[in-house]
Amino acid sequence: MLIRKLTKVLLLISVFTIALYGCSGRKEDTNKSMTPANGKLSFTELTKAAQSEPTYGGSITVGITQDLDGLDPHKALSAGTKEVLFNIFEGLVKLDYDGNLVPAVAESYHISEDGMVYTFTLREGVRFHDGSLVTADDIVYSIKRCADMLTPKDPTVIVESALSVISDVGSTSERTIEIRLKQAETELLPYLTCSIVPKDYDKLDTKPIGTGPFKFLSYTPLQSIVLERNDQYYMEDTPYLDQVTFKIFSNTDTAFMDLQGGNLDILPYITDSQVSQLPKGYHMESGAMNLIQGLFINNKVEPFDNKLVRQALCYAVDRQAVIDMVAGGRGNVIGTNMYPGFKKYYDESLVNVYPYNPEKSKKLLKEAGYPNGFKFTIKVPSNYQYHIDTAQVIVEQLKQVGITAQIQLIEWSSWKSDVYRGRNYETTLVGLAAELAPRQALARFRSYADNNFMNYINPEFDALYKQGEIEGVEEKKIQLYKQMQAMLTNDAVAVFIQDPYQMTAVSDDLGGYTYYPIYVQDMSLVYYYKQEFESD
Amino acid sequence: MKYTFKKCIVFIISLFLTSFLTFTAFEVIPGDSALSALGMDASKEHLEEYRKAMGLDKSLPIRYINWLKGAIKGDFGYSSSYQMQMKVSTLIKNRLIVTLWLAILSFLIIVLVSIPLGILSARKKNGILDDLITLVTQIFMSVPSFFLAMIITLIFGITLKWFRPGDYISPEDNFGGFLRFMMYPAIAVAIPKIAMMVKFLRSSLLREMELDYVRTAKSKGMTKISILFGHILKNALIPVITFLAMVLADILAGAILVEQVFNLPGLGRLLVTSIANRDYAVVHVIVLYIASLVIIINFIVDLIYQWIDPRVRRD
Amino acid sequence: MKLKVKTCHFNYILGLLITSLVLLMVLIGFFYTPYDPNEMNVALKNNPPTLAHLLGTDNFGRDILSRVMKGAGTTYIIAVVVVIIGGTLGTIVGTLTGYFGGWFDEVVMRLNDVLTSFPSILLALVFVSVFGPGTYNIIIALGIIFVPSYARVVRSEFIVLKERDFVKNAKLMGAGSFRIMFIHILPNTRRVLIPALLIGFNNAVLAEAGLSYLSLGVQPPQASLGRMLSEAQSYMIDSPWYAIAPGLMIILTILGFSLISGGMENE
Repeated sequence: MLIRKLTKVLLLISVFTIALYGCSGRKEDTNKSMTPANGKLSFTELTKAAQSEPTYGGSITVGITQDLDGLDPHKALSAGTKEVLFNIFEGLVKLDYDGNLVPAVAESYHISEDGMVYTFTLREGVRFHDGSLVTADDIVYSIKRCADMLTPKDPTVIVESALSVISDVGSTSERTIEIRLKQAETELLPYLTCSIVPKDYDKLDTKPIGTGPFKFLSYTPLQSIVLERNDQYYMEDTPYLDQVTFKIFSNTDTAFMDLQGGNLDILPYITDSQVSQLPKGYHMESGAMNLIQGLFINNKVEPFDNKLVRQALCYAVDRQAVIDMVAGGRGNVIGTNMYPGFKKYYDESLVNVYPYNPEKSKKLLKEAGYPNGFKFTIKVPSNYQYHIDTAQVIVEQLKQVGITAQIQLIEWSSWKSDVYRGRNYETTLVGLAAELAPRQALARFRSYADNNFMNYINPEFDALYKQGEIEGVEEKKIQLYKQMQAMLTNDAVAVFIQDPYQMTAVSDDLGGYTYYPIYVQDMSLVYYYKQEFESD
Repeated sequence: MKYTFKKCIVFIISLFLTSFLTFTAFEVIPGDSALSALGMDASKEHLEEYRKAMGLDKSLPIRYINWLKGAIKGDFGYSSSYQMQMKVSTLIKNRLIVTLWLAILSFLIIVLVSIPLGILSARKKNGILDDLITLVTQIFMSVPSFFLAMIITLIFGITLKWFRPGDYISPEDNFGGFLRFMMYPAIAVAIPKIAMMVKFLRSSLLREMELDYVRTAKSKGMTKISILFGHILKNALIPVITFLAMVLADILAGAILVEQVFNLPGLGRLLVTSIANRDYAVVHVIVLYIASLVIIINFIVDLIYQWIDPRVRRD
Repeated sequence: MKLKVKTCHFNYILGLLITSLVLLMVLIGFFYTPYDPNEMNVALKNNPPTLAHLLGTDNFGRDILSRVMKGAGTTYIIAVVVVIIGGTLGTIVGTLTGYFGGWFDEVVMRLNDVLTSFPSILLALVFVSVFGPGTYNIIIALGIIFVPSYARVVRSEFIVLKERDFVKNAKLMGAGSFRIMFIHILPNTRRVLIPALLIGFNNAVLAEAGLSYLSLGVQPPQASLGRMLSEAQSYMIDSPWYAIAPGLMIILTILGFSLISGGMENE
């Protein structure tokens, strides 16, 4: 009896192993084609999609390493929360995986020639998750809520400052909404991705209702949030999955252990070392993160108020070596403060302004009056191991030119108030996450900007920025933006390092996982392949 | 009676002190809960509005008194990490269950394992078995709890697949599964304490064995076993119980790291995230919980001491 | 300090052996390490133990043996100073409260309770924010966290000892309180105090590890056992040697000391 049972188990195990072998074969394929890091929809996706057909149904579990900071889309702050809520809520327009704005709740839009009036036409038959139709009133309410135009104000709503140019929002008919501006603004559209919610609905915090491909089912703090398929979604072919559970972990290591136990189907943001530890049945997919990782410098403090010193730092850091060391080569060197995702606006040539050159660095230091180098501290938020690792490599590299850098770990909350707002630091190593519009990436360098934490003061830059704000002709705008980027690079405001790759572990049974230029985990495109081992 | 009354007053004063210290701690450490709630790019005006609405613009004593007014009525306010929409008491209630179960399970393991081992070790004093038990327990005592947790996960979770690491099962869904999962973190918490307990019990038993009454009993011709269970153990266990009470308080504090490794949604993990988010309302209540437990346990220890040895009672 | 060990206990000797070995390694580490402990090398990332790198290399290609030698030194210095601070302050507090008793004792012991129940991370955070992060402030924070336990130990000894005849005699002979406390009674607490100091050293090593796990400890790239262990967590499955080296070093350190202190109590 016992023996029979044992043989059964053994048999099962062997079948299982065979199945796993089948999967791992596929894993190798994907790894091969993974090398070109073109971001966006990877080559693998396309071939896979062509090979096997997506099926409908099924449920998956996705690991996230940050608890949600709320369910109300207008109050949620952390990128981790927005990534999840993307599946529940939509705006008038929506960002697609190529970074284009596509109509969502709105069917079409029109911008007046002077750039002062935006008119949107509602898509017909869009319903909230509770079944009610989306009306123009709901949209006016939602935009007003984001733009801080409601009375009484809710102080916990996070106001989108870019919407402050709006002077008035109103509906002109049942299906048209008109947004009038105080001044012409050509980059407003990306911010109209702000989520549409039912008017005066007061349970957004506990029972959020949106228009997105998934409905909210349940949420338990520190544990999980569960979403279910929205059958009434206006896009008929998506979503594929019936249910998606986002499981919350205290850190990547515990999440990865759960993945190794086979409990997770998708785990985003895995580290370079985890990639090499992926268990059978999973493969890695990667795309550009659109994060500007850099050693940001306080341009006001000694000795960094001297441009030569900052340039010396730039020459002393071997950025490719940093990427090789901390990420196994997965990352793109950048040379300025613009997200490579905004392809049109990004000036790639600036990468080559400061090639690794310790001799030149030493020469510049001598010129600046520091022939024997100097000492400074790098403040690094303690919760980002990636940045801590990067800082350690840079400390070693700077030793070569005689500069002694010391790392000081700082809690994230303290970093926000002391470094970012208080500007009390010498240098800091962090990543600046992508903004919705390209100009936002440059806005922080205006002399008077509240978030100019690098204390960069350059009236010429300010003047160019003002020009860019009102420039309507696209070519000229691009020209201006590139000029500003070059200015930042030449003034060496910071040591811009890289745009890292985001790596995600995905079960071999799943297809359709898609990278976006902003932080998004779009589950509506994910599907199960037709099972090939069903007969086993 | 007077003694108990005095103790109660002391208890309340201690709690006051703890809560006030927690309050001031948040005044000292940098970080701004308004900034945490509205984001680092929030405008100055919005931050001001938020502080005003949440009463953060008032001075420290006034804020403390406001908090105290609510706390006395049992209203501890809202958690700022959840956009002021989650009541601190609800948030903590669910987390407390996890941590309490962790404490209970590890406590049980400690008692069930360490008492037999301690007795065995004391009976075979300086024998090979005693040396072995001492050595093994000492080795376990030397492992940092989070490292032990990592090793347990690696061995039992990943290699042997006896449990699924990180896959916490909530007690409402499946109580049996919950207990089975909780066993592993409980073991991680218990092992270092078992070692301490065995050591303590062993020396307590040995001390007792040398006392006169044991010799008397022996001379009366009682067997070793009956002396051990009839007299020594009873007397030796009394200091052990007080020691166990201290261990219980220690477990609650030590759970912080273990919860992190096992991904348990308990108080310790909540404490760490809440400190990081500058969610002082939550931190405050957790600190008070732990403080009350420690103080109550110390109080019970005092009572037990008195009960054993009335001389301890001081004027 | 003469310690009587009547029967040469096996565990006691083992403890001495382990401790002297570990200490020797750390002492050498202060003057010589096979490699520069902070030197990185991409080509050597996560290499298993080889003849050139006896304990393997870490995720930056740094030599783990060199880092363990240097790191253990850092950890030991932290632990020793913490025990000195905590032990001294704790002894003073315990002496005064134990000897005088009364309301003074009551107040101080309740403060002790408050301090014990205060989460150590929060306390460490407060210190780090007031004095800035770094090795010294971790020492101060841990030192203060350690005061209550020593105060308790010394206090309970004092309560017993102060009733003894030799104290009464000294009082009759007109010795002042100060003299009685520190000259007559304190030396008699050594039987309890010395093992407590050894155990305190162990607890300090463990506490350093715990704080490093929550990134409040020693700042990278400086090595300490706790820092190395917590960094190694992400590489547990792929490169276990990274975690084993500092982990084993912590275990051996603590094991050696607790075996010795166990032997002393057993005299």
